[in-house]
Amino acid sequence: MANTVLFDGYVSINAVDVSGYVKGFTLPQTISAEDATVMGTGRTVIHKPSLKGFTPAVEFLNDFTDNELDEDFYTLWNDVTEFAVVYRIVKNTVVGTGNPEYRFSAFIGSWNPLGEGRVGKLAGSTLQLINTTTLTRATA
Amino acid sequence: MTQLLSLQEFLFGSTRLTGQLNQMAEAMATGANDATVFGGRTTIFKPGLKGYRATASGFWAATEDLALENNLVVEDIPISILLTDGTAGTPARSHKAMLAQLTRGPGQVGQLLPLSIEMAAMGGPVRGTVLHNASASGNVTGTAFQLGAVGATQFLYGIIHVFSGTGSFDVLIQSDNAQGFGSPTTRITFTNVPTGTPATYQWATPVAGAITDDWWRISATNPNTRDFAVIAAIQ
Repeated sequence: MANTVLFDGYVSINAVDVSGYVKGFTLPQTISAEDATVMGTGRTVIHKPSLKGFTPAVEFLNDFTDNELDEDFYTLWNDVTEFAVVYRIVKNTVVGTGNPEYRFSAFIGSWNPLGEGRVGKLAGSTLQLINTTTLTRATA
Repeated sequence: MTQLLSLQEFLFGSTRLTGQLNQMAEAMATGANDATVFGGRTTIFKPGLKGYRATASGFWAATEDLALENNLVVEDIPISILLTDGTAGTPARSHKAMLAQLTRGPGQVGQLLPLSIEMAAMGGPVRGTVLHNASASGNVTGTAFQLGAVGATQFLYGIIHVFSGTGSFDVLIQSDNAQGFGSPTTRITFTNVPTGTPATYQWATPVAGAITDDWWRISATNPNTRDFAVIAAIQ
């Protein structure tokens, strides 16, 4: 099984390649577990899978240059835009079984442009996305 | 281009808090309404209300502490965060707010006394450009910046923070279709700051578009010396 070191990942937000600002991304997926324990099933709690969910987030270093990241994200937040998001493991390799692409639409759930805002630190923080569509794992 | 946090400014009404702060932050959020219905197995959402909150913390000093104390129940205080180095031409984000929390301490013997504030928005933020941020003696014709035109559904916002000074003081935000400002048009006239008023602030009534001029500057009539900042935003 080949392990993957992530050093050239790809993130697109609203059809804009923002990879050059990305420190990391995460895509936790969950399945709600409904308690299906009833009489007679023994002494173990059992579950049934319910709805799926995912909570995507991307960690950025911010850029306040005209028409760059801060201005783009502020506009997306202020206009409450729902936009396409794409994650890919390796930017310069075609989408395939070894390089899947994760696609969904979302809006900005939270964003702190200055991060924690401590003097001496670099401005940036985690962009929390809220999905408006299902998640697609594409291999082509 | 990454941005080191070292020269940013936090303007609280008529007080430049910057020199007492070692932390400033903005939080933007959007409420998420569960829109999941039958027909699929993935939870989906629709956006709800936006929220914006500015906070700052640093070290207690008597002058700044008094300024904050005096604004405890004041509404619509203009708060401007100058996002890079605060010089003219750099980006800023401004909003009207109330002071929601003012904390002195915790104070420990032998340690610097901390101070922290949390604002509660009384209006949505605007992202604009610093047109002026300095002390000036005499009249000022500001540097022209090409901020763009104001679209038919957009507004021009003007915010002024006056920190100190004397003399009857008038500031305008002007526009023109060329950098040379051969035929300037005044778009915002801030309320006169009278001789006996050293410090004040104003969030001007937004000006509706369309405005086709795309160059912007300030013009100040200033008989003495005034320390002030002006932010213009098109949104």
